[in-house]
Parts: sequence; C-alpha cells; structure tokens
Amino acid sequence: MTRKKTSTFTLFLLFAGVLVTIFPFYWMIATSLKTASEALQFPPSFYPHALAWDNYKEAWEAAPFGMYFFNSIFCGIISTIGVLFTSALAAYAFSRMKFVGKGLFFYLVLGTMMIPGQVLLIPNYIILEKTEALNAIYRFFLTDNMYDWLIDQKLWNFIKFGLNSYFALIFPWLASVFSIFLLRQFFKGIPKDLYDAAEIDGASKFRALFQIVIPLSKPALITSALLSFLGQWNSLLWPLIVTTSDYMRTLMVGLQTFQQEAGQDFHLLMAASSISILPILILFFFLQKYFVRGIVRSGMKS
Amino acid sequence: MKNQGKDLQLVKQRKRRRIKENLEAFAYLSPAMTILFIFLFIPVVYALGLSMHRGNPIDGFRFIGLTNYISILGSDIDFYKAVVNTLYYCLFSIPTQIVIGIGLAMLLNRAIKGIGFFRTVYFIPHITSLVAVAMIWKWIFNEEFGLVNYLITAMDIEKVRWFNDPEGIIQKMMQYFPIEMIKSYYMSLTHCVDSSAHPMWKRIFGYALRGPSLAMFTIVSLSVWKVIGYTVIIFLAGLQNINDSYYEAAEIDGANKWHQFRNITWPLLSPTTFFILIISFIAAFKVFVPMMMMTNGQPENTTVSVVYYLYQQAWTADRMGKASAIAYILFSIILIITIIQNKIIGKKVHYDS
Repeated sequence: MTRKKTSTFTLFLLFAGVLVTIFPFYWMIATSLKTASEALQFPPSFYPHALAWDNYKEAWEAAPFGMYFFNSIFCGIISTIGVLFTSALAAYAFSRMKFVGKGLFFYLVLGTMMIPGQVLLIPNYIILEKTEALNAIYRFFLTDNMYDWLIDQKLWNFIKFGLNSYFALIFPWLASVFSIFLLRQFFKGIPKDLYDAAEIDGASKFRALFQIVIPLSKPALITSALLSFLGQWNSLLWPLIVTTSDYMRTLMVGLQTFQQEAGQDFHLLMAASSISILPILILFFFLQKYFVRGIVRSGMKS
Repeated sequence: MKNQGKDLQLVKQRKRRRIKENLEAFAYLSPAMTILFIFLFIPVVYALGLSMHRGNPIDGFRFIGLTNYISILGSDIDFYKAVVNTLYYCLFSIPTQIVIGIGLAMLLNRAIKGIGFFRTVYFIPHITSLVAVAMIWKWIFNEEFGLVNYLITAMDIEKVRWFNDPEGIIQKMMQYFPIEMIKSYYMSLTHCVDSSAHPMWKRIFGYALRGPSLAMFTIVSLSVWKVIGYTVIIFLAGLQNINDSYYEAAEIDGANKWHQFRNITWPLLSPTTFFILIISFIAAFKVFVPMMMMTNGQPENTTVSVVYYLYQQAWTADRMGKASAIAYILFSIILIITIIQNKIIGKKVHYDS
C-alpha cells in the first residue's frame, strides 16, 4: 500500500518542520556566543566568529541568577513533593474509601478544573498578604537576637508568612486538582484482589497505600510530578506578583526583570535564556515518554 | 432478650466502624482539602465578592454592587479593545495551528521510519518556558538588528517596525484600496474609535475593522510555533485510530488523495479537531506571558489581551475590584465555551461507530 511508504517529499517537509522548530534555539545559542559588537551587527552573522563563552559568566553575574535558580529549583521540588503527598492521600480516599458526601466532594473538586487561574489571582494575593499577621507567632516565640540571626542567615524567608516568602511561592500550589483526579483514576485501575490480600495479611490502609498502591502507580506519579514541577518552573504571573525583592524572584521573574534592565545586550539575554532552558531540556530527554503522556493528558482534562 | 442485646451490640459496632471509616477518610483528604479550601474554594467566592467592590487592599474596599460589571460591559472601550485583540489572536493562531498540525500529523502518519525522532523534536518548544522563548522571539523580530528584518531587507523591502507600528493590517491594506468611496467610508468608521461622541458598538466595530497590529502577528507566530508539537501528537493519535480499511476501500473505488482526505480523514478526525479547537480557544483567552515579555501591550494597546488588561487594572491601576469583575467575565466566557462543548459532544461530532 502506498500510504505507508515514506516518500522523499514527505521527508523533505518533515525536515523543514524540524528546521523551523530548531532554528530559534540555534539562533539563541549562536547569539549567546557572539561578542557584544557581533551580536548587534547588521546584516547578522549566521554563526559566531569567535566563541565568547564569557557571555555566560557575564550574564550569570549581571543578575543574581544563582539565587533565581535556587529559588526555582527549591520551589519546584518542594511543591512537587507536596503535590504528590496530598494528591496520593486524597486520591486514595476517593478511590478506596467510603465516606459521607463522597460524590459531592468529588464533583466539587472536579468542577474547579474549569475555573481559570486568573479568577483566583487577586483573592489569593490578598489572602497571602493577610497571612503576614501569622508572623506574630514567631515574634512571640523568638527573641530579638534569634530573629536577627535568622534574618542574617537568610533563613527568615524560609519560615515567614505573607508576601515575598517561600510560603507565598509554594504553599498555594501544594495541592493539585488535576493530580488528585489522575491518581484516583490510576488507583481505581489496581485490582481489588491486591487490596483484599493486604487486608487479610493485616496491613493497615496506610501501609497498603505505601507498600502496594504507590509502588504500582509509578507512571501516574511521575506524570503528576513532572507536570507540577514544570508548572512551578514555568510560571510567571504568580511569582511576579507575590515577590518584590530580588532575592525571592524565581528564574522566570528574574529573566523578565533582566530583560527590562539589559536593554540592547542581546548576547547576554540569549545566554540567560539558554541557561534557563537547559535544565528542562535535560529533564525532557530523560523522561520523554512521561512528558508526552502527561502533557497530552493534562490537555484532556477539560 | 439475649439475642436482642446481641443485635443492639452489632448495630452499635457497625455504627462505630462507620464513624471510624469516615474519620479515616477525612484524615486522608484533609491535607489536600485544607489547601484547596484556602486557595481555591474560598478565593472563587471571595473574587465574586471583590468584583462588587471598588478599591485595593491599601486604600480599602467599598461595596458598589454591580457597578463594575455595568461599567466594564457598558462603557469600557479598553476592555472591548482587549476582547477584540484576544479574538484576533484566536482567529489567527487557532486555524493556523490546526492546519499545520493536521498536515504534519498526516505526514508523520505516513513516515514509518523516524516517527519518534520527529515527534520528539516537534515537542521540544512545548516544554520550554514561554518566558525564555518569548525573549528569543523579541530578538528575532528586533527592528534594527533582528533576523527577520534582515531577511526582509535582503528582499529589498524596507525594515518592518514589528513592535512599534500601531496600525492594523486591514488599515494598512485599505490604503491601497482602489475605490475611493469605500475607502473613505472605511476611514470614517475606523476613526470613530477614539471619540466618545460615538456609540459604543460603533467604536468597538471601528476598532475591530482596523485589524490586528503587526506586533500581534509576532505573538501569534510564537504561539503557533510553541504549541504545534502538542497539536501534532493529538492529531497523530486521532489519525492512528482511523481504520486502514476505509482507505483501502476508497482506493478500490478510485478515490483520489483529496477525496480520501475530504471524505474519510477530515470527518473521522472531527472529534480531535473539535477537542483542539476548544482547548486552544480556552488557552488563547488566557494568553498573558507573550504580552508581558514581548510587547507590554504596546503599540497603542493593540496587543493588550483580556488577562493582560486584568493584570494592568489590578497591579498598575490598583483597581482590584474591577480586575476581579474582569476575571469573572473571563470565567463566564470560558464557562460558555465549555457548555457549548458539552452540548456538541453530546450530539457526537464523529460518525465512526
């Protein structure tokens, strides 16, 4: 049958697609390795004549990118762990337990998937601003000396409430409706016999969850983890509005402010942008199939 | 007597067990539910309340009933401009995405070798962050030194002011329109946008008649490039569900490639197309990052999307009540799309059994 034969023309078109897909990345890396004067040359050179690796160092030092990186990775990891923990527990309850109002709860959770995040933006901002008052708890327990020490060691931001804290960046994202839904579907697919066997052996529900359900649900867990990490890593709007000081910015907010400050330094901008793309690209090549599966599913949710 | 006592004990035991079961379930639910309550359920209601207030957290809020909704929907030309901009963004990005997506998916469906390689490569833009990619786009479309303008000048055309030309493309094309009467009528329509003497509908219509600015096209091209890998994968899954025997039968009947596409592929792919259409529409209505990174809504607010307008109102103009009302209007639009989707899916789009 002719339909299944790969013609040269087909391949040509597919490779044209590859070229269009890859070229912007090539252009980013090429510009990032040009000297300042070569980057602003017109007509542009298609490849850097002398590789200016120093651009990366310069860009890295032009803004506190180390801090931005740390913030993004820290927030990503903590919220991913949090999402897995809260979602696995909730999904377990929804899939294997009987309780009053189960259907109502489930539809309440499911119904919120339609709500655009923008609706929550302003109320969440105001709620977080109000949590500032909770810092009084620390003030009650901590002496002035301890408080000053925490600020000196830059540890205060890790524990404080209110805007401009890790609490603000992470806490609202510690639960995910989509993950709960995804894991529930997966948990439901696990044969009932396994649960019965565990029960006969006298394992508690908690033990059954950690020793049977979770090891069997690796694909779904990895998918939720990836989506949650990617969501945190790529988000711009939320960290933009809840952070005001430089050292609390995530990588994406850092890039945004760097872009405004760097002006015409395109070689530095492209170096910074390369640095921010690299970690996700590495993650992608290792966990490709989970990426595709997860992202396709996350679209299906609506 | 003895038996009755036993029964009672049994009932009590069962009741106790049920209470225990319930408590256990709620313990499992509580971590997720606590967070969802504070940052999802309460805010949804809170936002509705805020949308009926004027002000911000610093100056305080004042209850004004439905005034925000009335003033936005009744007299806020900037809001309607944002809606028109967003609709133009949808109009140009979604069909392009679907056409290229189906095209590439069909090519890939034919290629037996290297399908994984192509799929992976096409998917890369989708996972990279929009922030970083928007920076590349801004550089490629840079007016003075950008690659696109170099290619344009190489073709002996003047450099295009991608981000600084507020004129709409229809406006641009109408300059060369041969019939003077229609041209001047068109000009009068597009000019009434900025004077409040004209009725709202006329101003909105006039604004829509200008067409999107070139800056919007840079954003559209970015969005299409970024999402295409995702679209291809969804369409590919749709294509692989179509049974080969349909094509075999068609070939025996002497149908050519176009007929096969028109009568087999397209109708059988319609659920997929419809799915892509809906999710793209919802996503497009929430577009924000490219505006923030590339244009800041400029030139002359021709790239202000609904969400960017919301952001400006809340954090630049400090009108959080009004911004909440915009958020709820956005929510209603998305709700309407979802309801339409459910209605149509109920009727079934596809014809395959």
